Amino acid sequence: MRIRRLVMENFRQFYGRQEIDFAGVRDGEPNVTVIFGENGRGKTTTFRALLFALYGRSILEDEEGNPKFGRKADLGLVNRIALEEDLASARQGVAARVEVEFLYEEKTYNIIRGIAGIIHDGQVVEEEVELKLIITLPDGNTRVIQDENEIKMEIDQVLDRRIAHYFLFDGERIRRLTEANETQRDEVRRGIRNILRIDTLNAAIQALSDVEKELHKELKKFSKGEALRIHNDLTDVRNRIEQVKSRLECEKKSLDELARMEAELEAAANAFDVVNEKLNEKKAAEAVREQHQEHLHEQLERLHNNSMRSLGLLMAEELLRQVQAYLANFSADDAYLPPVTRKRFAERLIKEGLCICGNRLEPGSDAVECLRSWSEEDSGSPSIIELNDFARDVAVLLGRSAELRKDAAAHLGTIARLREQIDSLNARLKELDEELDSLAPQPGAVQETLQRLRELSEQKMHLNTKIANYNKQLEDLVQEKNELDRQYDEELKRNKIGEEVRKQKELVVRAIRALEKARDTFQHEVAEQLAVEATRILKQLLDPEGQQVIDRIVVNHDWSLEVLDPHGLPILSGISAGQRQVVSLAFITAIARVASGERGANMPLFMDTPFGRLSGKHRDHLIRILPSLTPQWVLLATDTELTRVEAQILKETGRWGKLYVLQQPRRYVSQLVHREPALFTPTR
Amino acid sequence: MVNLGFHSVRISGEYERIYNFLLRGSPPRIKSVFPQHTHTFVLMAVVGCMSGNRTELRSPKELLKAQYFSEEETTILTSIALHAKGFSTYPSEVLRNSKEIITLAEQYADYGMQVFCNELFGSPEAFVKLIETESVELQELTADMLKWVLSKSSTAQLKD
Repeated sequence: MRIRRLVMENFRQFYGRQEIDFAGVRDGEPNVTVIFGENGRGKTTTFRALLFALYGRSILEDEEGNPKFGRKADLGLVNRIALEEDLASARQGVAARVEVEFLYEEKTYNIIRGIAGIIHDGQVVEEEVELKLIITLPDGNTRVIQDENEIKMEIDQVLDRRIAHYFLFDGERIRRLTEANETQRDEVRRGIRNILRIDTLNAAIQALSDVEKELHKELKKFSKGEALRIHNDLTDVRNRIEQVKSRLECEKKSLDELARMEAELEAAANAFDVVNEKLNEKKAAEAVREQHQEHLHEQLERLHNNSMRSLGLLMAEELLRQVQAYLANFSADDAYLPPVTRKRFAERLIKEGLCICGNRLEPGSDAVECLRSWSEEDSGSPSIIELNDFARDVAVLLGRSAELRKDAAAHLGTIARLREQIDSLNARLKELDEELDSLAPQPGAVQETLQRLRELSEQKMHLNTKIANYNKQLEDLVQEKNELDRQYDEELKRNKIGEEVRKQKELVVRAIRALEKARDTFQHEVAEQLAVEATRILKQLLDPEGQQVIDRIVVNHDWSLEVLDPHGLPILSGISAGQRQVVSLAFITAIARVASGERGANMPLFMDTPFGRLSGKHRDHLIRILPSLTPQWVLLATDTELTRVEAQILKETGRWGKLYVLQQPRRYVSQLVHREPALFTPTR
Repeated sequence: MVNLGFHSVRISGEYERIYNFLLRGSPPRIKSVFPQHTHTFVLMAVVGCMSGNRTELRSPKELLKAQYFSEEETTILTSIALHAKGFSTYPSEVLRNSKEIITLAEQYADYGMQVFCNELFGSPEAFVKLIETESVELQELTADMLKWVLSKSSTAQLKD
């Protein structure tokens, strides 16, 4: 898919007719289009217009809450000034329209979507009034489609709407991927699910789970005694699982909401350069701290699982050494009678009725009673062989305890180091907060923003901890449920109760597991494919220094991203904020490429201010490389993203084909001015 | 391996709360500090033994059955009994008497729990108070206990 032209008429900020001709329509042509302008002038609106033309208004509402796109209530699509002019004159309403022309498999597609808007009783009322897809075949014949469903099918064949969002990289998505926490995992998981388009499979799993719940309820009727007790426990655990899941969902939503609020506040605070610099450092430190905290959590968990079972053994080392020495001495003591020998000896003396000294043994005497007690000793009592076994057990334990001691000390060392690092980051964060506070005199609003950002950051940290705890609880509860399921099943089988329902349930559970397995296999295969693709891209994007440090990207089983060094060791927490951003960029690009499937990255990649945390060196390197990753690259940039230096590098690539500068002569009026890239010099 | 049979393993009633906390946390959850009661009990028994003291149980309560001890734990408890006997009798006498092994372990664990609470929290009462106010951070406690055991065992001298 190559996009040739985007025409917007009275769409959002774009007053009147505005047009973009994209670079890179044919192979071999320069393929970079830059849309250059300050924040709020409509850079992202060009991508929204494209999505709107292809998929309609609902796709924009899917992005509700994304600060880049504004909130649902804010989703007026008809230009405000045109509406106000209409209100002041003819009051016939305003026609807004977006048209996209693109090429796909040698056919030309023109899709046109129109909205009519009018101000009525002080409210803007909008309605979609025009929809048309014209397909021009290679022989020049055309087909015009106006049926909405048919258009939907045609467009989805070219590019499925579920993956369309992945062709716009904005700061928000980069941020979500750079944060090593639940937000990142969600983003990765969502990306993979969207690539796979497995909604139907998930719906089938859900439907079967509902059936399984009903069958579980049904089984209660047959359960009595122990079976009923286990059924009740099971129901209780299932309810607790549901509760924890629902809390988890709730916390994740809150976290996402906090992240959005944070992004909005940061956008506001960004106006202050110094503050911005400190905020960036703070954000990077917070991200590293979150990673360390997660790592610490994992280490403590491992400690619990491995070392706590053997604390007694660790403590008993000296005792075991003494026992070992004692047993060694003892074996050499030939004078002592082992019990088996003693038993046989006593039996013989009683039988003969003579003591070893030659005296008769009187029945009932102490000597006879003592001999009798020896003779009645348990024949299974420990023999010298068992003593040797015991000595061997002691020796084995001593060996194991030495290993354990080494492991535990290493573990504690790692934990102490992580704690130190977290403490030092906390100290630095505190300093940064103080520095941010001291940037006075600041207008009250800025102070408030900073204060709010601080609170949000704390709330986020708190929520992340809560989410980690809920995940842990969930894991434990699922284990408990599996065990109870097993017990319950055994009980039912043993008592032959509810046979038919039990078998039905068993079948349903097997079907659910099979579907889940299929889904998980798909997901992990895609995750692997993504990691390989992301690594390939990363290798191109990293500068030589970065390439020495970073070897590859992997997607962990919990969907978190990790970066490994050439020795295979995880180093995401140790790389710079800039390098992390490059990792995120590589991963998002990989999502877009994998999503495009066999046909390759055939949708233009829109990158909205993608260089936020990058140093000049990184930025220059990316500008040289990114155009070669995609047939069409659209860079949405502000004057701080594309300064004279970057513009010069982009010119040197020979790939810069088109440039549009966004101007805003008045509020709600944005205009696209076409300029020649070769003659363009940015203001900064 | 020595067979410890099906004897009850008991603790003083006042320590029941602590054992339960170390297994389940407060409020109860699936995991706390130790995965099983046996792990806590054996550690306490060794601590008591290393400190050279054992105390009679007060208002005894059953904690678990002896069959739940692993091979490793059984070897440790048997070693404790050998030590308690002053390494003077024939080992088989000790190895054979599972009831005595358990009784000695109970008494050492009782004293061990006191030492543990005194050294980490000031006293058993102080520890219980912390548990009741839910102010013990489990992961912190886990790490602290391991640290305590490592440092205590590396300088350990058995006291008779």
